[in-house]
Amino acid sequence: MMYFDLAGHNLTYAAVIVGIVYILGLAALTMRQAWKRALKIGYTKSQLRKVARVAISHTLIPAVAVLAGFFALAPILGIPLSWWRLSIIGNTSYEIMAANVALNTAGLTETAGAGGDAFILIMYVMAIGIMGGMVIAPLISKGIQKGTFKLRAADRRWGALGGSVYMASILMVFIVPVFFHISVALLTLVTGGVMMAAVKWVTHKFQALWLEDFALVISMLTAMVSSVLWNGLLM
Amino acid sequence: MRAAEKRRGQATPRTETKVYSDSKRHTDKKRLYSDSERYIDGMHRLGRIGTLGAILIMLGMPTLLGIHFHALPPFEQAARAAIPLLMVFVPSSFIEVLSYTPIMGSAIYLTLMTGEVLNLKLPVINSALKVMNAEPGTEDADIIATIAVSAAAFVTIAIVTVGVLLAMPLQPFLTLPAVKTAAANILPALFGALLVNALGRDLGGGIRARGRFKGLLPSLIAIVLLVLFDRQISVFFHLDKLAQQEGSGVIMTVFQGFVIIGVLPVSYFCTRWLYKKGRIQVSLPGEAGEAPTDPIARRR
Repeated sequence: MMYFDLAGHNLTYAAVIVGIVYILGLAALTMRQAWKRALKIGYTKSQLRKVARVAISHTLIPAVAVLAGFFALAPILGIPLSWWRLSIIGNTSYEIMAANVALNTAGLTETAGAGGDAFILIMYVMAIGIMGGMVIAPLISKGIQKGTFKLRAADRRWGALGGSVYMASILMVFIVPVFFHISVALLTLVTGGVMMAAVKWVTHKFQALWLEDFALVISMLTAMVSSVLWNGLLM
Repeated sequence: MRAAEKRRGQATPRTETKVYSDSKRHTDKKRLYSDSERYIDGMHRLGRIGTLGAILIMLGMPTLLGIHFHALPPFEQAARAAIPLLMVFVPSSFIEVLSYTPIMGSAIYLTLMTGEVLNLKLPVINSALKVMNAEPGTEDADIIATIAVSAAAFVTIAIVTVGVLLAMPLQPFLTLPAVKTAAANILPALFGALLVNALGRDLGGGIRARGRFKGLLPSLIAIVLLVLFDRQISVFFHLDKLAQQEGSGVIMTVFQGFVIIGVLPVSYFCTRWLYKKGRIQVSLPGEAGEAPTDPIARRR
């Protein structure tokens, strides 16, 4: 059986559907537990719906970008495996890199004309290569979270301040290098920042509370559209 | 207790019976604490079991297909391909778990299982915590992060599934050069907006810090130096070939994860030192001069 016979086989679709249903079921179960606990400690349903609404509105644009990645992956991996890989762990650039590493190991340069075993090899390599976090998290995450709780219980002020350092440091590592030369990325970043400041100003000035939930979406979308303009200008 | 007071200030609960009264909270303090602990332990248990199941599915899928179609590759070939990837991704996965767990809490398991951490899950959690005015590192934050990540996972899977169903009509649009450019710039667009969100004194939950960015200065200087001397460092560590391949700074791209793991403790301990010295002042909600002046924070 050749690579694309297996990549588009009904059984491959069936296996992928089982996997996706499992992830959806787990997400539903996790959400249910959190929702029940939230109601128990005093959150209202409308507050929780607001959390879900914010999460959904903030997911739409990045998810469309993931979908764009699907069309980059599908010609290499076939539809079901691309669907599976982008619905779970991983991202487009990793998947393409992992597929290339697997093909090189099998002595191939492209998937067209490869055998079915190359497809299975790619599935294994993609799964194993990115599994590190899933193996490490069960071992250390609970300890880290308990440590964070203890820290906060001991000193609420330091707990809040110390907690803010993580996000700020991660942002710094990604943002600072962008400022070193004029590029599409820099102009897009500045546009995103300016738009966020503008939306915040409008929200505060006109007390438009509803707008706050969409601040990130509006800023990101404008900045992404502007990147096309910046790309044209800098080219 | 404080979290409950905060929430009561945010909105009127829909059902009185679901909210502990103040006196009941005092008498049931021990029970509430153990309830909270039981919840967190339960979520970690669910996360661990769920992760184990996901690993089994991820490995079981190629095994079953390989056996059925008589197409199992030699073990040695799979190992030879997977080991280089593991060498690159295990350290970065470790860094991810270490740096994201304090923000995500028990939602880390579902986050790692559903992927797209930096460009999707992290900003979604960050925004949800901000909108709900929740303090990171609390049970409240854990609950909000879990609901946000689950909702984000549903939407991502739904959109990719719609893409699969509408593969033919959507392909021309999503493969347009303009759409590709916009999609390639999603991270700068996101970080620009997040940067403005991160500036300011608000730490969440009405807690405010004065001078908190002083603690980040050493890390900022280190990052600037790494960018400026990227080429020299690459040559020193014999990474110049890699730098040529990348076409840009190799330290801040290929070894970005290691930079994060270096920067985190520096920022953390500098901030702690300055806080202890009184150079960074943190005020709790309602403390003198620090009552929330933001009309939105007041109304929430």
